Amino acid sequence: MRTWRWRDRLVLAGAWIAGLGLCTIAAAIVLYMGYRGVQYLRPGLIFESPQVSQSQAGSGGFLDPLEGTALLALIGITIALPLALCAAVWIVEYGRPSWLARVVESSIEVVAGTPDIVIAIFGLAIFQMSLLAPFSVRASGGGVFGRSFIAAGAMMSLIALPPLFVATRNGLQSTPVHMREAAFALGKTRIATIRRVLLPGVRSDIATGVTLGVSRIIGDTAIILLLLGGTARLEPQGSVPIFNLLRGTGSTLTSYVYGNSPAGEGLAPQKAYAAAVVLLAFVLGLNLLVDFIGRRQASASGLAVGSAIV
Amino acid sequence: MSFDKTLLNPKRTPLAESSWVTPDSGCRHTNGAEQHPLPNAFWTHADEQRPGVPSTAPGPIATEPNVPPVRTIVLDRTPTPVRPVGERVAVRPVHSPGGPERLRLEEVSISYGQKHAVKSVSLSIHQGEVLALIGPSGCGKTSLLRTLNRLTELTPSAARNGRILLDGEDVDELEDTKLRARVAMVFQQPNPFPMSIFDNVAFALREQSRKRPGRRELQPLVIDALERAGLYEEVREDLDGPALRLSGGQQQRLCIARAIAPRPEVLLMDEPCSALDPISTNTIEQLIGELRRELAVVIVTHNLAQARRVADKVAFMYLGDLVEYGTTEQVFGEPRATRTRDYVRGTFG
Repeated sequence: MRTWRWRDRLVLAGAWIAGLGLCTIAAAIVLYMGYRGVQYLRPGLIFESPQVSQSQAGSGGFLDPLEGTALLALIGITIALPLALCAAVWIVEYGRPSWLARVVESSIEVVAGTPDIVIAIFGLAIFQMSLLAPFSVRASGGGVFGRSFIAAGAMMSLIALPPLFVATRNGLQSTPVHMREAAFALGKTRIATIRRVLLPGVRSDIATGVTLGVSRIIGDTAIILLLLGGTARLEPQGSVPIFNLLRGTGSTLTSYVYGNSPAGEGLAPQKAYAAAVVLLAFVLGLNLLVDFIGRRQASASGLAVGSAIV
Repeated sequence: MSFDKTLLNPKRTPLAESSWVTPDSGCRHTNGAEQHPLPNAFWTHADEQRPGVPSTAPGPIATEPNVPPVRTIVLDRTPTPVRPVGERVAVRPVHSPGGPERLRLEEVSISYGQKHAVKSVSLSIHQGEVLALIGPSGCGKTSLLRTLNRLTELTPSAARNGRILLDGEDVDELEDTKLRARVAMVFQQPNPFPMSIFDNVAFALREQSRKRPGRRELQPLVIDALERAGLYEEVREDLDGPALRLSGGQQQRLCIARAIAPRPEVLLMDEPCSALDPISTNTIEQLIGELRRELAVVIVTHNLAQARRVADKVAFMYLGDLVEYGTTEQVFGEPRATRTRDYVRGTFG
């Protein structure tokens, strides 16, 4: 018994060390980035567009990257949400034939496991097809350049889709069967059951998925570098009001950090730190939101807050 | 109070009902203070205080400081007194008025793959009566119940033979959604939707069309359904509160309200009280007695005493066969089949 206890203690100590070590690493990242970023961060940066300048002082702020980040998250989620919901509903509520359901699930796993740089270069190949030319910037010679918010957003939806799908699927799977039976017994169709009972019931799971998806989108760099055109400012293309923005190029916080860091052009490392800390704050905020939604759901388990479906 | 309507029903002869009281479903109250000074049938209101009988019975022993209080197990010691067990017969007609036939089962068989759950059952279910399906577990009574609104079709392996006629129409020729609105169902586990009380009932009433009736149009119907389920008084302040915050018995009555809101012709109940406490059970049994007037009720129950209390007709099933079908008095009093006699006397099951 003694040896067992000794081993037990060792494992326990290992677990403690691992846990505390991870806490330390997380704290180090946040504190260091906070220290480096906050000293350069001033409110004006958020409201100024980037300027082309050789000096760090004259290079403006990162308003455009912020807008670009928000726009991309919006596009990505707008595309991913209906796809993920439909796929999850189909898998859980229909799922026949079962081999097809398995294929769909593994496909989504493949998408989830694909490195974002691979998704990015695949997107470039797709959006450079002349068929899709209207959706992206044209090079001056007339060739399809294949870079735009639409191109990046479409590929970003693939980044956001797996977490959204998984969250919705798990929510639906944990919805008890008797909830469905109750709706069917009231003479409701499958669609009405899904729309009025099941999806409202998994709203918090969907919210979790959306938040996870958004945080993955705003943290992604590879797709931006390949597909967003690499202009520091939003550069609308054409004259149609909103579409020109979507067709145009721009940047996000991640590409801004990359561009201004020593790895990129390295012209404004202070701005890079400031933007990095803003990015970090966003992602941490979103993770806290996920946590909050999950917690609220757990505390209300079985006592889910009623929803007005009128 | 909706009980009034029952008692004003001219078809009923309240005094004769006390003669129906059987030894075990009758007065259970053994302590003297609870003894009823008047015949049961005079009691019309469930929540009416009986004169001279306190709803809580603080015996003289309970007031003495050193003696631990004697706990008398009295059902109506709750804040909202319900009719004691012995009086529940007051809402029960002597015999079913024999309303029109609602459902007719002709040679209905159900099988799951190779397993035959129900074998060639023929039955007839009338409005105004409660049919109890009794029998040991696995005898096919729930399968039979669930096939009446074609809910078995959701089980891929289930197959059904024979005909089921709802008011003369073959249920297979009805659209399943229409059928299920006419043949409503209440399940064993209370299963309200995670939405507000109002929406739970309103959900049943809304058509699946693009034009959905608004809250103003639905409100009277929802309130009416809640009243018929005997729940409205308890939830009138909180119609927009979440349904899942109700107690188990209230949830089950909400499910009943939801089921009867579209005015179905038949109400199927799959052990509706097995997850509930005795007081809620009593309330729901009362409710079944009242609902019977406007629809046919089929109830599956494991609880023989309950079948005896609520049912007009009893069908005893064993291993998929319908062994015996008759009035409650006959099936429990003088069963024809040996199997039935053994079951109702508790020899097996």
